[in-house]
Amino acid sequence: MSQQGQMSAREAEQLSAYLDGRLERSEAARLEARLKQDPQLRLELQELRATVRLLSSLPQIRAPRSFTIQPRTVGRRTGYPLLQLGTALATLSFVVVVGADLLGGQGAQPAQLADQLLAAPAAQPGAAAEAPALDQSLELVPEATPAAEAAAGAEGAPEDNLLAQAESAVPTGTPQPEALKYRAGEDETAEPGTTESAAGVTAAAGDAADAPSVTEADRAAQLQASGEQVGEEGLEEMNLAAPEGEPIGEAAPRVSPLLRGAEIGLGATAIVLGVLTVRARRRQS
Amino acid sequence: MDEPALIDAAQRGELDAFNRLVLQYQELAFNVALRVMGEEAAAADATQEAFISAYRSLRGYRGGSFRSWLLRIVTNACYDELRRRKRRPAVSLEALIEDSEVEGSIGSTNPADNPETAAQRHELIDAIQDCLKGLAPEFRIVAVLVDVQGLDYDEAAQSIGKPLGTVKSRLARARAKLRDCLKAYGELLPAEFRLQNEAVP
Repeated sequence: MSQQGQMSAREAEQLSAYLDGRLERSEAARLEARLKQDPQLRLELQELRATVRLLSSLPQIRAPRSFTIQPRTVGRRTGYPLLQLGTALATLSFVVVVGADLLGGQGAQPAQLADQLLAAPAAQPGAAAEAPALDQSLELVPEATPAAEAAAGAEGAPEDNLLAQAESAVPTGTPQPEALKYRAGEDETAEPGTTESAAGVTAAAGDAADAPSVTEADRAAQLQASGEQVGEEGLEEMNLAAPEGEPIGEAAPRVSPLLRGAEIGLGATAIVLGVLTVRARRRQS
Repeated sequence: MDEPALIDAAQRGELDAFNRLVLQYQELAFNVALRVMGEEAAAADATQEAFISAYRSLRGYRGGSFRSWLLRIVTNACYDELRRRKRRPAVSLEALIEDSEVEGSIGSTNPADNPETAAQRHELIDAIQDCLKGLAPEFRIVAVLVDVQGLDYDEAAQSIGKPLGTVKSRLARARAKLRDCLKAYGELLPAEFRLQNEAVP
């Protein structure tokens, strides 16, 4: 280095480290040799040393107050992270449930319906449908179960009928007033003594569109109870049931009261926690 | 109770134990914050925030130099406070001068100084503080830790959470900038600190 102010960053770093005794022995020896020959470099070192001395001469100021912590200071804020976490979880759960509800209502259930209709009677076409399969059908597509029972009661009713029923159920998507009319008419004719199985279905579905299938289930139950051999007549019943399958598909996207309740509950919880979090944040600042 | 025992008790949630650590380190923490912030009120805010933050994150302390661990929290609190004050600039530059006079600057801590000497020392302190404020915060913090508070490189590296090489280079740049800045206050500098015409050995 020859000119002051033109010292490279490396040279400045070396001088700085040398001042603090942090330069390696070999580097320090080389620097000392240069310092002997270069008065400008010596001046640089001297100025740096004086600067450090000035900085270290700054007085230590007494703290203006005690910084000890009061219990209420740390206690007051402990709820804030929990509130933040709770709000985040409630919001996330709400989004997941609503998202699942929307996605499930748009396409998943008709496909499930078809699968279940195919699976349940195909396993034992001549006998009564297996209970687990029935349970699933009751939960997901209540209308399908009575139809399946009717098929089973018909002792080997062709699987094709069920396929047809399923197919007719799949494409439906909009509510049809006819279904409601049909329900109203059939409900009046339904016999109280034969609606035990259907009652559960109606309760689970909680929907007006369930009614046609409910009455269908009643008929199937009557047929089974009386031990009648259903031949062509039974098939006719099934064929009649096929067009009535449309309401089945319409009912599928409907949300159960439990799901709706969960959505409302989670939404309300997220809002309440969010408000509490904002208030806690304001208290902090 | 020694420091490790106090730390251990504080980690178990004993606030009294932590407050004894606060009393032990509050002068250091406040002075670091004061030299970094350049204003007493801001320094006090940063220091208080740092101790509250330290208490909450005490379980994260895994041994080593407690002073470095604490100073890292203090420097982070200073960064936060600087950012806050940059958004809401309302800094009273006079406050530090007056507070220094009251609380104990070089002049006021030496009763032997006559009024003229005391005034000169106050001006010198203001000049140094002014030069420190002219540095970018990352350089200022290193200069304060090493040159004002006397930490070694390793402690300073731990305190800013950067490698040793970063401390070396930042310190060299900070010193060079401070030297250039202080030259402008040549007439204020005491004879032994005069940089311009200092004799070369």
